[in-house]
Amino acid sequence: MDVTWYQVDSSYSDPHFRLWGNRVCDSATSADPDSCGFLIYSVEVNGAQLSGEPAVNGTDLAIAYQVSTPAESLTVRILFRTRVPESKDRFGYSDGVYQLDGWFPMPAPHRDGRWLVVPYDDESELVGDFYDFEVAVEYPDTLQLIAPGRYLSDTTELSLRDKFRPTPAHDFVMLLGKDFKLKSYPSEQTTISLFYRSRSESAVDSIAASVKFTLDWMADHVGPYPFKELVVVEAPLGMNGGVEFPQMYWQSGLSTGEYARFSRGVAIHETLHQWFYGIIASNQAEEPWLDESITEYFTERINEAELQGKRQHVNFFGITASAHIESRMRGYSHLDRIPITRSALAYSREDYFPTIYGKGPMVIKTIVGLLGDQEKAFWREYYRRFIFAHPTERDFVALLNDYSPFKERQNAGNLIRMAHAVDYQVTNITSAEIPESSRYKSTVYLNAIHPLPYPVPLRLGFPSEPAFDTLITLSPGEQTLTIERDEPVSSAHLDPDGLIAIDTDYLNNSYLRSGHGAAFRLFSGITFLVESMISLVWGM
Amino acid sequence: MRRIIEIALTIQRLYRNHWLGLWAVKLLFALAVTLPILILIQSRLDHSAFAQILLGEWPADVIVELIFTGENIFSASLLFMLTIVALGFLFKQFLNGGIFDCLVNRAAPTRQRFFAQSSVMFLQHLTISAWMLLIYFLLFLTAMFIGEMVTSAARRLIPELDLTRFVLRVGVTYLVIIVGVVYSDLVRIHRTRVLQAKALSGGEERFGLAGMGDSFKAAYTILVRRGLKIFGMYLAFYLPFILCWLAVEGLALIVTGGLSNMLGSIIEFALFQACALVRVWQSLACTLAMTDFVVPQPEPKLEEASDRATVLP
Repeated sequence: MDVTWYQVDSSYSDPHFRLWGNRVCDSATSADPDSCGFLIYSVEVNGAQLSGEPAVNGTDLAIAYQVSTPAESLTVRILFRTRVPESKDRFGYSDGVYQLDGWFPMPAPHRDGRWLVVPYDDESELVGDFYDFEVAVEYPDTLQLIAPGRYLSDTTELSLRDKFRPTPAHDFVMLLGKDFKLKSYPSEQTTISLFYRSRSESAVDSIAASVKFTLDWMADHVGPYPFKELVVVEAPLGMNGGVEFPQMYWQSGLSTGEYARFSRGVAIHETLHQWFYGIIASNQAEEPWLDESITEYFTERINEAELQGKRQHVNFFGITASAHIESRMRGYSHLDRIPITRSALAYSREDYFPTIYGKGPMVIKTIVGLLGDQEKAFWREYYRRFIFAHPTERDFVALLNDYSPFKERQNAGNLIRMAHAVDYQVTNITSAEIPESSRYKSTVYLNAIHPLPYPVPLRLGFPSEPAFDTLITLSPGEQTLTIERDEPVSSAHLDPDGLIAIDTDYLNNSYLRSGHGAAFRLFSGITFLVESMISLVWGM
Repeated sequence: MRRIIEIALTIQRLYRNHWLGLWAVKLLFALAVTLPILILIQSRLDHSAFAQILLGEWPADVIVELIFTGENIFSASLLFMLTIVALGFLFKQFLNGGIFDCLVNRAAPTRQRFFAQSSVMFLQHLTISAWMLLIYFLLFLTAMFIGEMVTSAARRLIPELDLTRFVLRVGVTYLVIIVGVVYSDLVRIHRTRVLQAKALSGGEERFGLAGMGDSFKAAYTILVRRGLKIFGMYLAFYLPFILCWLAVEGLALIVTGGLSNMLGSIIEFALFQACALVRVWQSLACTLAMTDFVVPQPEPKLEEASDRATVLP
C-alpha cells in the first residue's frame, strides 16, 4: 500500500496509521487472536526502508519519521498482510462472505495540524480523510468481488484482477462472496447496483425504489449525490441491520410484504449516510450526532415524504402511528439527561442508542422547526461548505447562527448541548363577558419549564371565529395571556404543529375548554382488553 | 346443526342467569382494573388537543405519550391488572363447581345450590387447573413446533406476506390450545358426574381428591375416540364467535371513525360488551354440548333440583 500527501509540513511528522482490523482481533473478542489481524512486514518512507520493527500498538501503527522542512510530498509504502477472522463484524468472514472494512492500514486523520489517533468504537464508523484511491485487487475466480468505483476487470487463468477508483473517498471497503445476483437501476445521475441473494428477489425493486427516492429527494433538499454509482449489497449482518461506507452500503433482511417498510427504512437511512458521513465526513467517533442524528432525522422526513401525504406511517385496523414515534420512543427517557454532543466512547451502551438515535433527531427536528422556511437554504449551504470536508460541531453551530432565530442571540449551541427537560403547558382558560359590551375577556394560563429563548407558535380557537395564530416567547414558570374578542377563547394550543420536538409532554401543550371524552374511549378499549385476558384465563 | 340450535336454545332457556351473571362478574373484575385508570387519565386526556384523535382511531403516538408521561401509571396498573386476573382465575375455579353442576344436571338450580356446589367443588377444580397448566405448557411447545412447520411451508408459497404468515402461526397455535380447553372441560364434566353419582348413592363421603386420575384418563379416552367430532362441535360454536368479534371490531371502527365523539365511544363500549356477552354464551354452549360425550343425554326438561339432594359433604 502506498499513500502520498502533498505540500507537507512538519505537522506530518511521525504519521500514524489505523489498523482497525486489530480491534476485532484482540484477545477479548477473538478466540484465537493470532489467527487474525495485521502483519506489518516493512515500511518505506519516500523510498527508504525504515529499520527496526514497525511500532504497532493495538490499532495504532506509528511511523518514526521527521518532516523537518516543508516538502512537496510524503510517500509511505507499507507491505502488510491481513488475516481475516471468522466474524459477522464489518471485518470478518461469515456464511461464505468476506466483509472487509478496515482491511488495510488506513492513514489516521490529519486535522488542525496534527494526527488524530481515533479509538475504535463498535458503534461508529471508521474515521479517515478524503483520498484519491487507486486499488488493484487480484482474487480467485470462484468468488465475486463487490466494491464501488470499478473501472477495469481482467481475467487470468484462475483469478480476476479488478481495479477501482472511487474518488474522493475516506475509506475503501470490499465484499467477497458467491451466488450474488446483480440488478442495476440506471439513471442520468446515479446507477444503483444492487447485489442480492436469490431468496430476496421479490424485495429488490422496492429497496431500489426507496434508494432512488432518497437520492432524488436529497438532491432537491440538500444537494446531489456526486457519484455515478451507489452499490447496495445484501450482507449477513443480522436482522434488519445496515452499515454505510463511501459509495456503498450493506443491508441484511430484505423483507417484503407487511414488513417491507422496516427494510425500506434501513435502505433510506443507509443511503442518507452517503451525505452525512460519506460526503460530509464529520468525525463519527468524536461527534456521532453530526451524522447519525441528522441521518435519522432525514430518515423520518423521507419516510413521511414516501407516504405522499398520508399522515400515518402505520395504519393497521385503526391502530396508527406516525413516522416520528420511533425516535420519540427511543429518545424519550434521555430528553432531560445527556446531551447529544458527547463522543461515542463517552456514552454507555445503554445511553448511546437512545441519545444519538432518539434524542438527537428530536433536537434536529426542533432546530428545523425553528428555522421554518429557511431550512432548505440552511442544508444547502451546509452541503456546499462542507462537501468532501470534515465539519465539526463548531462549524455546524457557526452556520446555524447565521439564521434566525439563532442569529439574534448566537446561541444555537445551547440548544444542541441541552440536557434538561423542556415542557410547554397550557393549564387553563377562563372567560368572562365584559360588562356593557358584547365582548369577552379571556385569560389563558401558561406554564413553561426550561423554555427555549425563541418564539413558539400559539393557536387560539373560538367557537365560530377562525383560529388566531401568533408567536409567543415564554419565560420560565407560570404566566398568563389575556385577550379580548367577540367570542370567548375555546381552546389554546402551544406549538400545534409539534415543531418543538424535544418538548417532554405533548399532551399538556393544549387546553380545550369543553372536554371531548377521549379518556372514556381508551378506558373502553382497555376494559375490553382486560375482559379478553380474563376470558383467556377463564376459558369463557 | 339441529343439536347446535337445541343447545343454543337451552342456554337461553335454562342458563340465562348464569350467562348474564358470568358476563357481569367478568366485567366487574375488568372494571376493578380500568376504573382507576380512567380516573387517572381523564384529567390528562380530556382537555388535550393532542389526544382528541383518540376518538376516531387508536393512535400509538397518544398512548405512548401517556405512558411515558404517566409517572408509572401503566406499570403500576399492569401489576394490579395481573393481580386481578389471578384473583379472577381463582374465583372462576370457585364458580366452576356451580357451573358444571347445573350443566351436567341439565337443570337450573337455586342460588343456594349453585354456591354450595361452588364451595364444595372448589378444590377439585383448582387441582384440575393446576394439572392443566402443565398440559397447556406441553401443548404450547407442540404448537410452536407445528407452527414452525406450517410457516416454513407457507414461506415457500407466500414469501412476501410476512404478517399473514404470522397470523397463520397464531391461528395454528390457538387450534392446538383448543385441544387443551376441550380436554379440561371433559375432565371437569367427568369429575362432577363421578362425585355426583357417589353422593347420590348415599353413604358418608369425605371430600377428597381420590380418583382424580380416573377423570383425566377417562377424558383422554373420550378425546381419543371422539376427538374429531368434539373438535368439530367446538369450532361450530367458536367460529360464530370469531365472526361476531370481527363484526364488532369492524362496526366499532366505522362508528368511531364516523362519529369521532363521545357518542361513538359509548356505542363502541356497548359493542365490546355485546361481544363479551357472546363469548360467555359460546363457552357455556360448548361446555353444555360436551356433556353429551361424558353423560348419557337425557331429554332436556326444566326442573328445580333439590337444595340438598346432591350436595357433597
